[in-house]
Amino acid sequence: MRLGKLYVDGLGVFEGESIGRDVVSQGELVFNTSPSGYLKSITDPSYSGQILVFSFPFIGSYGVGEEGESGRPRVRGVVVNHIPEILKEEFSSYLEKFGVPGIITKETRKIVDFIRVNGNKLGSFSENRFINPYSSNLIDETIEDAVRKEGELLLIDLGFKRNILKFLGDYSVSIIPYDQFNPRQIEKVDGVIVSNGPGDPEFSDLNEMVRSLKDVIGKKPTLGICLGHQLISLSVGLKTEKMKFGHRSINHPVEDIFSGRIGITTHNHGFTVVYDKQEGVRERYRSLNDGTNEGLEGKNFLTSQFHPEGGPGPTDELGVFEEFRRMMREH
Amino acid sequence: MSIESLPRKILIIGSGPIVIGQSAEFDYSGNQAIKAMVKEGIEVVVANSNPATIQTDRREGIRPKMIPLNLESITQLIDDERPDAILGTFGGQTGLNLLVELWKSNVLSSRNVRILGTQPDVVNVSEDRLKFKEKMQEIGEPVLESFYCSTLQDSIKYSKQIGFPIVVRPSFTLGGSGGGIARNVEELRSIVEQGLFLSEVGSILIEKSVIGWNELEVEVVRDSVGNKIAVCTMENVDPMGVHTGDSIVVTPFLTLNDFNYQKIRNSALKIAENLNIVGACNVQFAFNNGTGEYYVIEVNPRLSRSSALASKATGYPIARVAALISLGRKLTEIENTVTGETNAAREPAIDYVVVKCPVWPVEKFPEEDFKLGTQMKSTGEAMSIGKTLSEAFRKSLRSTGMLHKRVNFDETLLAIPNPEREPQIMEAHKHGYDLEKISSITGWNKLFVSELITAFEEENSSAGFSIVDTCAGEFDVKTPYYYSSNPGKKIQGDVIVLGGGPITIGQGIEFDYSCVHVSNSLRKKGYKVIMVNDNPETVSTDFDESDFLIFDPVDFETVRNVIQNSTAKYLVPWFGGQRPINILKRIQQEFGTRIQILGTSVDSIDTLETREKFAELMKEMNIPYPEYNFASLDSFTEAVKKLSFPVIVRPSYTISGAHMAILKSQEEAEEYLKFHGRFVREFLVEKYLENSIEAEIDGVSDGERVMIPGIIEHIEEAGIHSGDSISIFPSINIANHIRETMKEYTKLICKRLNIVGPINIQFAIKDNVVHIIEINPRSSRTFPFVSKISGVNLSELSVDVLFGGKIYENSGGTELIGVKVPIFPFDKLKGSDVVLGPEMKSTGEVIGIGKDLKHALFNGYRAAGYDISKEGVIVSITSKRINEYLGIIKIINDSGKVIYSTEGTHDRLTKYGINTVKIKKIFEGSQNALDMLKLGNISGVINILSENYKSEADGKLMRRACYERRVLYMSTRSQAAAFAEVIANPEKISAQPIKGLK
Repeated sequence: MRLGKLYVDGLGVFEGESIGRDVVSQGELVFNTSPSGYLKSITDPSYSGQILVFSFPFIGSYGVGEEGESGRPRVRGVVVNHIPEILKEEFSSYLEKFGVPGIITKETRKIVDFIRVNGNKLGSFSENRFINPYSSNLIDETIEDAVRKEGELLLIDLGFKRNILKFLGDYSVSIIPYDQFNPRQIEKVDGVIVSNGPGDPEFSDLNEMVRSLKDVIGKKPTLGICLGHQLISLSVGLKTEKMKFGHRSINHPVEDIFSGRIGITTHNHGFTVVYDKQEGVRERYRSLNDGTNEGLEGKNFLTSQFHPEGGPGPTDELGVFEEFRRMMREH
Repeated sequence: MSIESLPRKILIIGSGPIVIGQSAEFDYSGNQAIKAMVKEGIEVVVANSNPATIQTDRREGIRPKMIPLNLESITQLIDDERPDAILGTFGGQTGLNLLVELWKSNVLSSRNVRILGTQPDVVNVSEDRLKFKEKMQEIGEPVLESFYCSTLQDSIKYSKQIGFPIVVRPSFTLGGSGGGIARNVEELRSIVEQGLFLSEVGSILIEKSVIGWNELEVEVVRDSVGNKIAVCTMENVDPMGVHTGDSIVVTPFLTLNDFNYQKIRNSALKIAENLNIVGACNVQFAFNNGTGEYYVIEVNPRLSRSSALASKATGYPIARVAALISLGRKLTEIENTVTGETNAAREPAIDYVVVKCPVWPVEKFPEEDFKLGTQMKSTGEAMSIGKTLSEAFRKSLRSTGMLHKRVNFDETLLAIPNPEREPQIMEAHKHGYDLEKISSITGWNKLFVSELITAFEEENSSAGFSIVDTCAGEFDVKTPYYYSSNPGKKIQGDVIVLGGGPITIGQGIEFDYSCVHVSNSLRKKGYKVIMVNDNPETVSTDFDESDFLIFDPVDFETVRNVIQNSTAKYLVPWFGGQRPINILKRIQQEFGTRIQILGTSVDSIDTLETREKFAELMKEMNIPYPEYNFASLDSFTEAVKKLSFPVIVRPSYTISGAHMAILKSQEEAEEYLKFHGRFVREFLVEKYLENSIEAEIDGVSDGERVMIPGIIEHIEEAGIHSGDSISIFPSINIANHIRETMKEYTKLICKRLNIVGPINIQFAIKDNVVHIIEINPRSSRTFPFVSKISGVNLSELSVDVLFGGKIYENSGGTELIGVKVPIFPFDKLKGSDVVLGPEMKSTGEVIGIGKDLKHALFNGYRAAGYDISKEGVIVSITSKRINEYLGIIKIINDSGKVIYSTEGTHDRLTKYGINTVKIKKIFEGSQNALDMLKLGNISGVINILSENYKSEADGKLMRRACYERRVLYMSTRSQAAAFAEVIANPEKISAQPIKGLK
């Protein structure tokens, strides 16, 4: 057994069995309470820059054969309470292959409690030195697909999750990295998806993109998911702010304000849109846990802060994809 | 539903007696619903025939009615109480069936009683397998190829289309009674015949078998506007083919990836939506982890055993939420009482793994084949929580006694699901079988095998407690509960109350009843209560019934952790049955004065529980008791002779029912030795007080005075376990001076041993001499029964004396008579011999209350499901004893019953002037007593056997047939006399309105 160390800013150092690659790695510490889909979480590009603490203590129970949300792990590291003995080697090798460190510690609940009380703090594997991930461009490290040009839909890639495409499987999708996007590209497509992705929506590298979105909103049916929702919100004049410790789980109840229905949804966000009344923009979805905004709608656009595609988690998507289709049909 | 349209008075139907398939979970879920309703200002009427329930307690705003759960008496109740709403989804299958019956017979619509929650038409769809199948096909959910048959011929015809193996499931039965798996036509024939009989609607379903697949369950809660959540996912460790009630179950799904996890969850939600569930439901699936295929197996549109488990496993109060939903509340309008802040629409998250492990009454039914299949056979379960599966497994092994169970390794047993499969797997591992091999033989996933082996090998190191908070740490919590795990935190608390653990025969819901009262009383006095129990089916493990609930096995290891990691100063072990008593010595040895065991001293316990010391004490106090001897194989004959016949013999090293017998002659003794001598080496031989009356006292002592609310008299003679006897309280047939002697003995013993707290003493009265046969210095099974009839809350009084309170009054008073009628599991345990003896076999009880014995017994019989209004009575009495019965039979005959009797009996009765119809004995061929029973117009069978082989075999068949058809079987004079008493002048009794205790 190899020993590893995890430093938590403000809490101290945790020693435990080291898994994966034994490297120095820093990030923001976040936790997720889902018992299933650990591999999907690890490979979710929205976790870029973050060290993921699993609240559920029995991680790895069905191996690593699950299809990921991207081609490789995106987290800066993994903190787990326990991995079943017969599956530990497999799990560790998987992380090792992609150069990601991990640690097994009985103290995961202590770390979770610390984050809940104090907000997201920084963590570091092996070295007592912390680096704030939000000072660098996290999206660039997640974009992997070669640019796909021809398609009925245009997906602006900020680190999209593969499951999104599964829900739109009957369309051909052209995928354009956010920094190669320009509004002329929307002319030939039926609709535009602004994808999820990591980091701060007000990060300077995204400013230009937010500006160009202004030329898209209202013109073509547009769906924004997670970071995409936040960027569209910024483009219509709303503000975003960092949350205390964010929402990252698969069990969040969200209310569809329009229908009164609730859905259990997957969340993965550390920032939230501050909604105030705005011409042409209605608040469509709201968190039933803390009342924060979970989506907007307006002429030809619909956004969701939650992940209607699940991956991991439920797909009680509250009709998000269905409405997007309707919008495109009616456009 | 707006506040204005809330019901004014609501009737909640309970589930009746504890039987296999319907345990204490419905007291728990019903009680949660009641609390929620009362809080809303609604008056609640509770109908339940089971006295050992919290829900039948008299409390502010609640009107408990301990009446038979049948159409007639509930209709009468509705007329008396005039509720404007009814809730039938909180009383198990019994409550649900009754609701459907009331609905179909228009009792509810004609009296403007609104049905709350899931509606009966929905119940009809989910309970009728054909309709269910059609509904599932309509919404595109996969169901197994199956056919609905009402005749044997049909089932054989369709079996050719489906192909063997085939599962047979009868519609509308309890706990899957009568189902089975047929591998060929012969097996099909016998299972179908039984199933058609047991089904209330005379129909069965035969379907494609998915034996060996993974069995999954999802617990769904849905409100009336269609908001719904999956509260909990549960994965059976045992593959399909083993009833889920008999399966080891883990929470959450562990071997499914997210795609499959969500697929199953989505299906469950879709089904709840399309069935229009309002409240809770449980959906079961068969799932193939290799291919991802699944089938929907069934839906329970009500609170269930699984919903109790799901509640306790996640902390989400399903019953409370379902009750509020039934009043029209939306999920978003219901508070999460554990976290105190979020709403009930959030799916719980857990940061631990849960294992549920059933327990079986293997030792009580040595003849029964406990091979596990589609017929549930377990009586209770333990729920264990751990950070890892092996940690949770280890706790369940501790709780069910499997951790130290010695078994002989046998590969054939490994392949057959049975109650000892965990130690068998461990033995296989020791014999060098690898995971792959064990997994393929047992059908268990390799992960489960591996974690189980680790559980056997690694002791949990627990220092302190982790919490169950419904959210895995995401929110701050108000009322969490706890489990041992390392690293853990210390807790506060003053008094540790030890609960009863899993329900087994003899260790039932009665103890939980007392524990809940004790906790309440302690809290009223201002103490912070730490409750220890790992039974998810109970009220005591509801999160708000104590201050600190520790969800761990009731054993020494847990108690040690609590003592070391809490501020508790006191221990109260007297209310959890025998289980906590067994660890007292060790607690005292290890912790001495560090923890104060309140009440009776451990030394006094030791005196009462050690045979020699007990006998010594009785001799010294000049109290008669049955003489006994310990004997080896060699000294057996001599030991028996010393006592003179009859005697009770049993192995001296075990309390199992195996090898236990009553011997009446030298020949029988030789016979016994020849057979049992091969298995048993050391015997306890005890004088058997034949034809004696048995009685009991439950009391509370302060060391000086004893509160005795009355005497419990048994209808069955001594020799039949007190738990299996019909009991009358207060006693009416025992002479005054005898009663005084019993009370006097009780007082003398309490004073002598300085008993402080509850006490139970069992007596046998032979030839006017009172013998003490057993003393239990703890709360007994009859505590709730006696408390309810006498109005003296014995548990609360016990708490008073434990803290130095004194007894002032010493007897209770009541104008009512109560009878307690035992309920047996023979219909579920088909291989067992239906015979009562010194070993307890009943799983539960019902109560009958009346102004006199006759009325009480009448209600008791009805509550137990015996219909004594039927025309016929079968009588077969050995010529040696028939004279004792002539008077009784005469009364029965005069009451208008038709007497059917076998030849000898017929001749004798005719001579005496009683009209009887002659029938054959079973072995004499057709048109015999058994055929008469099948015709179904028989209210009772009086069968007094001669002691020869053929009539013994007849007796077995007859007893089994009676239990399966709910016909009263009487094998003693006192039983027959009681029956005669009740049916004499029947018109008078049925004219009486049936009312429960006020």
